[in-house]
Amino acid sequence: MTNSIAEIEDADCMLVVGSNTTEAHPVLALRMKKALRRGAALIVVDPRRTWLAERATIHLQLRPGTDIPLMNAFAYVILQEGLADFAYVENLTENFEAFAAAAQEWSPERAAELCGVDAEQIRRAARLYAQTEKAGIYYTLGVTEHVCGVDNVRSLSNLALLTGHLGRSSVGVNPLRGQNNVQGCNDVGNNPVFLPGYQLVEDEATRAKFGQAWDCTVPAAPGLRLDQMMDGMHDGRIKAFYVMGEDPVVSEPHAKQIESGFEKVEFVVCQDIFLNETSRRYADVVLPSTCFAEKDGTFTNSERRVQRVRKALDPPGQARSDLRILFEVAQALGVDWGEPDAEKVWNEFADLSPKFFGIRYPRLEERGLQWPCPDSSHPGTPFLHEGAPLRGKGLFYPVDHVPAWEEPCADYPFLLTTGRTLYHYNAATQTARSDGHLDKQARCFVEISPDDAREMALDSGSTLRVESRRGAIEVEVKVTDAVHPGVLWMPMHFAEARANVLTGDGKDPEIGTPEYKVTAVRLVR
Amino acid sequence: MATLVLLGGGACMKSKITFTLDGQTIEVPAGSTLLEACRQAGSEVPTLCHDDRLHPYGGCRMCLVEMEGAPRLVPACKTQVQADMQVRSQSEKLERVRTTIAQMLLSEHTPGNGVQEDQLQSYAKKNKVEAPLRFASSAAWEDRNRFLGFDPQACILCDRCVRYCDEVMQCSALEHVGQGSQARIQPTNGQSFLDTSCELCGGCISTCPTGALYEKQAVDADGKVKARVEQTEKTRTVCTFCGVGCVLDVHTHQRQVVKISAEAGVGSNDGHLCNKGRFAWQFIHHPDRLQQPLLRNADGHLQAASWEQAYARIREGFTRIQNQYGSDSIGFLASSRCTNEDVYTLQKLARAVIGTNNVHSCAAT
Amino acid sequence: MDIRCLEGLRGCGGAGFAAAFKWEAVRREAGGDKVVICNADEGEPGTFKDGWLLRHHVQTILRGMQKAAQHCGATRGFVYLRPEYQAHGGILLEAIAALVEEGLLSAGSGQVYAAQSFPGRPAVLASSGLSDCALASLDWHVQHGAQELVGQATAQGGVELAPPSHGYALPPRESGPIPPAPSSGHPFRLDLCWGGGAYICGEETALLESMEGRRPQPRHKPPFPTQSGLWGLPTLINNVETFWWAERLLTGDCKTPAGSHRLYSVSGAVQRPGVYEAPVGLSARALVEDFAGGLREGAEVSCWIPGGAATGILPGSLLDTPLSPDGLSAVGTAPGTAAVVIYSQPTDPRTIAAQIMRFFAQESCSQCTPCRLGCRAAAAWLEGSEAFPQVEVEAQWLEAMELGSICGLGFTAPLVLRQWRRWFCSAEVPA
Ligand code: SF4
Ligand code: SF4
Ligand code: SF4
Ligand code: SF4
Ligand code: FES
Repeated sequence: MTNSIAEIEDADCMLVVGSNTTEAHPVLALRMKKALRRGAALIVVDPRRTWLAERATIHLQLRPGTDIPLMNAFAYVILQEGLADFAYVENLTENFEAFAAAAQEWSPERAAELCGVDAEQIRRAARLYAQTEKAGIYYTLGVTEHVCGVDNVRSLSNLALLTGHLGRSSVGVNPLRGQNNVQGCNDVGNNPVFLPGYQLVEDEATRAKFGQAWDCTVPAAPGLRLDQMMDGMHDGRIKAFYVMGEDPVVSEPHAKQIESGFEKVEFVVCQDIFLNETSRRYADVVLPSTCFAEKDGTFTNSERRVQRVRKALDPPGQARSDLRILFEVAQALGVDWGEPDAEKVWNEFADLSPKFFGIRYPRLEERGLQWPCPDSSHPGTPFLHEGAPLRGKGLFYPVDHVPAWEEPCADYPFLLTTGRTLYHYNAATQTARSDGHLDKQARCFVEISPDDAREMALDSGSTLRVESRRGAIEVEVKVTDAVHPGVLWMPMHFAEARANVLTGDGKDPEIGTPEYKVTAVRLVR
Repeated sequence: MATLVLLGGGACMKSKITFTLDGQTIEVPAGSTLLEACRQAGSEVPTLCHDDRLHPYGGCRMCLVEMEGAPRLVPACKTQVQADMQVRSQSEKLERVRTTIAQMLLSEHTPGNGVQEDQLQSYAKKNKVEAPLRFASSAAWEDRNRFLGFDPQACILCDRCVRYCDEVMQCSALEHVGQGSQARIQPTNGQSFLDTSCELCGGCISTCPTGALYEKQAVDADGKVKARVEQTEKTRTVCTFCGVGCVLDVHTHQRQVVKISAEAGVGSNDGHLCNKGRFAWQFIHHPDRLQQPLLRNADGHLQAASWEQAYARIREGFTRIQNQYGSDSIGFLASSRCTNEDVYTLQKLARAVIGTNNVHSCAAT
Repeated sequence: MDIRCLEGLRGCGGAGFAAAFKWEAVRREAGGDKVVICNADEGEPGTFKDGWLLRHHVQTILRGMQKAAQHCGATRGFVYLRPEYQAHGGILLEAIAALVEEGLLSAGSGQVYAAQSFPGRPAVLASSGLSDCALASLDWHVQHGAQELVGQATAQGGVELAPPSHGYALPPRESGPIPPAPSSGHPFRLDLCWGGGAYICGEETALLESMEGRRPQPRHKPPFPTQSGLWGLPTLINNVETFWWAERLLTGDCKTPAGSHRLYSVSGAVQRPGVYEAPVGLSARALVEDFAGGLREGAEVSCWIPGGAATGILPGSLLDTPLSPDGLSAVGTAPGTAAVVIYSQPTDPRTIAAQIMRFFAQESCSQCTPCRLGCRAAAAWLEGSEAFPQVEVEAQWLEAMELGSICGLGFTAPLVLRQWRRWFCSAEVPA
């Protein structure tokens, strides 16, 4: 996030795109609720009528996968009506002309037709966003989990640049991170092209720096992304996996394809707190590890705040802390890193990463610190891009509509999109082990519009087969006008009805994020 | 859509105003409440119905103070400081009235089960107040949900839970019904929490000053409290269920989690949690937890093994693959739920020990 | 408009605040959106003069409201009507229609709304066939099981509960222009809002809360409704009788000086219970003798209420006390709603005091501790309940109620117990 969570409650206009915030980020949503109660305007862009959408000043209930035309139409209106912050554009951005030309292609009328929303509503929303001084954008996976995920994000940042809505308190572009440490994972270098602290593997000096610290030669070739590794299982590039706390067979799209890939892999190590589909079926070695309450360390939340995780309990049985396991594996492979100690590991990371240099455990005791924090007296950074964009000039990217990887057709007439619910988390390995949560929501369900339900003579509670070109699952029907006709929505959490059996191979070409959000399916009673 | 503008207690602009408190001239930010001013001046004023995160209510009347010119005492929590006010926050009269109000509350209050702190009891103990009489207790209350316990006999109708649910959650799943001696708190329409708009966030528990609302998971099946709140050990850590990163306290007793809570004013969650953060901890002690390493044997089954065997197998496996196909044929996947230190170490293992940049995790956002 | 003639007119709803002062306060507030509300939630036990006025002089009241609106610059008006006054609703709507016709009220007047009540409160008392006088005491006497019913209510037999009827909730805050009324040129839309049915709804800020759709719990003051009332707008709230006097004073119809007379609701053991216009300062004895036809045959006064239940009880020996602020304050009480109720022997004064206190304990909105629990304890003490022997704490508890309650219900309730102790109880009077 460019801004802090606490700033949200002071926003006067919130543009929430593809985020069912009250369910996926409930406590962050409390700040939105507070802003709403204060009288802030709210624009929700979501194919589903969510809690926030119901209370929104404007709800643009678009067809899934049409975000770019919609955002371009926003830009069209802002340019046409002279609502842009031309001084900001002039002084602090680049590539405006190319972007403006792309935006000119999408009049609200043209976008309206493709997105299935009202052109006048687009105009109103664009004005509201552009004309409110304190306006922030918030988005989640509804934006990124598309073939054009990266361009979707660019279309949002274009809007922020165009209106100068960046670099102030409550004003910015805020991705809300799904998992608790997505931010930290990237920060500490869990990325094929970045070494820790966002330092490029490509860069020779960087490699030398890390090589010296680690007493090794850092390989120069960028690694494979997750999706490439998944493909690599089929084409022979990947022969072994070390999986820490993941269940790719459940979490990755097009599950059948993943399963057949794992069949070919020769050696798999899984380190986790429960057996999961991947380890049960494919692991050669399973290492029992620890959950958050059993270890020391840090997490970094969506607002870039590094916070201390503290050990409250010993791990059960012979289970060991993840850190100890990794140190011992290194030792087994012939490298001695000494005693595992979370603070020492953090210090090594911070010493090597200028943006994090000032963050040290003793400073995290009270309330954590938000990076960038380059030195020990730096107070941390509540919001980014103050004064000017970080890279000096904000870069406009001309973006255009990218059709979904798979569009509905006569055989598979419904468009299925997926998401999170309030009561479960990811593959529900933990929430499904909580009786109280199951009381509230025990089974998977698919949401269908009353029109479609009537046509197919379906009632809430009946069971239905959802089929895609790749697989089929059985789920319970929930009839609701929260979705438009032709659109289905399903939560992603349930192992016995895995949405990913259905999802396809579409992914963003630049970063490989899979298209969980659009799948063509048909319903069989 | 109804739009409600709240003039919360915290709303303070830059300018300062001065007034007299207990004979001293005090300067506070304009818009401060008397309660904030008293805190700033170090004068201890008891409160029960007040929560900084909620709109001031002024119902319990514990925080009454004397104000020159006012016909009666005024509640510090709900009164804004005006320039040149003359206020006394400590006096014999106030002492007497506060004691009386505590007496009144005690006479309708039965101490809760101890899962939660009871601020009324603490005040009574500290100030040696006892109930001079007893009103008939309210009927007990049962619900089939497994998270929220409610003991109406401990309730003092401070309305914090109702206001929390209305103002913060905006769920309106609790209501204050009836009047006079019939007045009581109940889930909307007297239904089970599972059948109302309640989202099981447990925020109502966190704001309840008496422990009338409590974490049901801290009580075992036969109604015995696992540990009173003062017996538990509190460890401050961070929720692992989403990127908001709420700060929370894990309460443990005899190596078991008793409950999870969060303290107002701490972290960007300011003491708020959602149902997952507060209640989804059963998995920690779940029998399915892996407790020893497993190795796949010749006929394809996973079998318990020692750590040494496991590490030997790993050494053998990775060495063979490395020799046969090269380091870049090994992939490392880390969950975005692991700690920074774990993930840092994993990528270091990949890069420095194995020699590959094949490190990534699921779902990039 | 010159409102100097209102000088001396005090609100007739119980609190007795200077009417002209309120009118001026609202007029001085900035902004064009202001509200005038006529408080017709007549619920003080023993009081029925507002009902009588609404039946017989409804136009005068509405014209008074119109003048107030014009004076203050208010464009919206409401009559907040006690839901038991079902028949009066029709009368009011007819009168509103007539005044729209006449051009005094804006077109569109006469909408019907319903205010919020306490969840869980029983439905309103059915009132068909009852006199206002009987109705005035119904909720008190019927719900609380008193033996001696006031006035003529006895004749009416059983009382059933009717579901709260009519009207829809008031929308958050309607805007949109209100057309000027043709004859006055001033835009003023006057609507009817059915009250929430609880005693406390008559408290002006609880009334506002219930109109806005919330539990009728009194607000903290300040801000006063004149500064921030309905929807946060400056709001003038006057009692029915106040508007009636104001209209008559402003048009010169009233020959007596402002505040020199009041409408007395007289009931109980008298020959002719009813509403009487009488000079302020007249004694209760004179009121009974000269207006209400004297005491009922053979009745001997056991105790009496000078101004509605909240003013407590006095002994028969004080029947000559002038019913004026000064006169009544000398005996520890106030003129209240000018509702005089006479109880005859052998009614035990303690029973009456206990019933009043029980009524308050039931009707307490339960927002603040001293009133919610203090009234309960005081009622139990008056009822002489075994479970409550600790009279030593009484003084402290009454003090906390008086000093620490949010609204008038809580801080005047102790008076009932104090008056009983002072005039009827031989035990020491608690300090
Ligand atoms: S748990 Fe949360 S949603 Fe449910 S009643 Fe309590 S505050 Fe409201
Ligand atoms: S349950 Fe707790 S928070 Fe709610 S009113 Fe009772 S004492 Fe207050
Ligand atoms: S408590 Fe809820 S909102 Fe907060 S981090 Fe945990 S899952 Fe996210
Ligand atoms: S004094 Fe009684 S009626 Fe008034 S606010 Fe307090 S509890 Fe409610
Ligand atoms: S804390 Fe101020 S009245 Fe309750």
